[in-house]
Amino acid sequence: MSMDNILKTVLIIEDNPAQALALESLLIAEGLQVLWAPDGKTGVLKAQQLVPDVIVLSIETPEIEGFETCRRLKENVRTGGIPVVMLSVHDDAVTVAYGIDLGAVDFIPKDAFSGTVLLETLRQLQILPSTACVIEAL
Amino acid sequence: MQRRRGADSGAPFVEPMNATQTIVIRTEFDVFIARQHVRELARAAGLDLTNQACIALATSSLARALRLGEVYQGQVSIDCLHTRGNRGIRVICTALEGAKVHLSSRAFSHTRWLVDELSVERTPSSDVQATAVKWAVQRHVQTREFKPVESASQLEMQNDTNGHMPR
Repeated sequence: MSMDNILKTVLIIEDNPAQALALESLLIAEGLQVLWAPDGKTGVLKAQQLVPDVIVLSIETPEIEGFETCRRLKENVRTGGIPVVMLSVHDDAVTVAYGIDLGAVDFIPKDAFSGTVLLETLRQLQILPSTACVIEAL
Repeated sequence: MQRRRGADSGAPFVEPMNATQTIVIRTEFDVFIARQHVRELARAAGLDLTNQACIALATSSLARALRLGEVYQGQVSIDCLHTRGNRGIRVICTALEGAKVHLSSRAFSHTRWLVDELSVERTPSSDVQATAVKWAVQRHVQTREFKPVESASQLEMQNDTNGHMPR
């Protein structure tokens, strides 16, 4: 794992503490710095203040629901360029299409594979090194 | 064509891009496995993250519209398409003897938003087959609206794009 990855920051916007903790553990194990916001309003503020490298946004959040949170993040000059990865228990076509239309770079359903998919997404976003790079480093 | 039992097959796998993967769907969990395989193949085919998400989630949307793993058993077949200057993923969801599947279901037309091509047909053996294609580079034109079809000939008319879709 290169030193660069230690500096990469992920903001998790997730109201469910258990799910947030699970995500946090997964990402910390990969050498990422993790921030957590329990609702959309706090998430937008933290994103503006700390400008993370990527935002993992659960759609089902209180205060401001996930779609509105995404819209606000994308409209803001400081946060508009940060990739937003949406997570949701809802995986119907309407929800997915709406999320992507709002500017989410990826939409990950909360299922048995969500952790695996998120890590692969972070690799493709170059937040994490690719598997090939890790092998090379070894 | 290689057949795999979804829930029994263990960890996700990726096979060479010219192989067709077929996942048998018996339970809802098999749909999740199929969706994961679609995502992995889409990545291998060079689709970007958003397109990977679209075709993967279109798969589960189609499976749900066909009530796979819930009412009907069936299968999801995935293969990579190669054309001049483009690559894509084709997913075929089949509900075996899906007599009560409504081809005009709104779920099918909603799924159309996620993919570049979509067709639904009822085969002579009463199976219902939904075929979705997502390209790495979105193709020109494709202005026709999604319409459910009841026969293979109608399906061919709908799919008569550039004639590059290998069967």
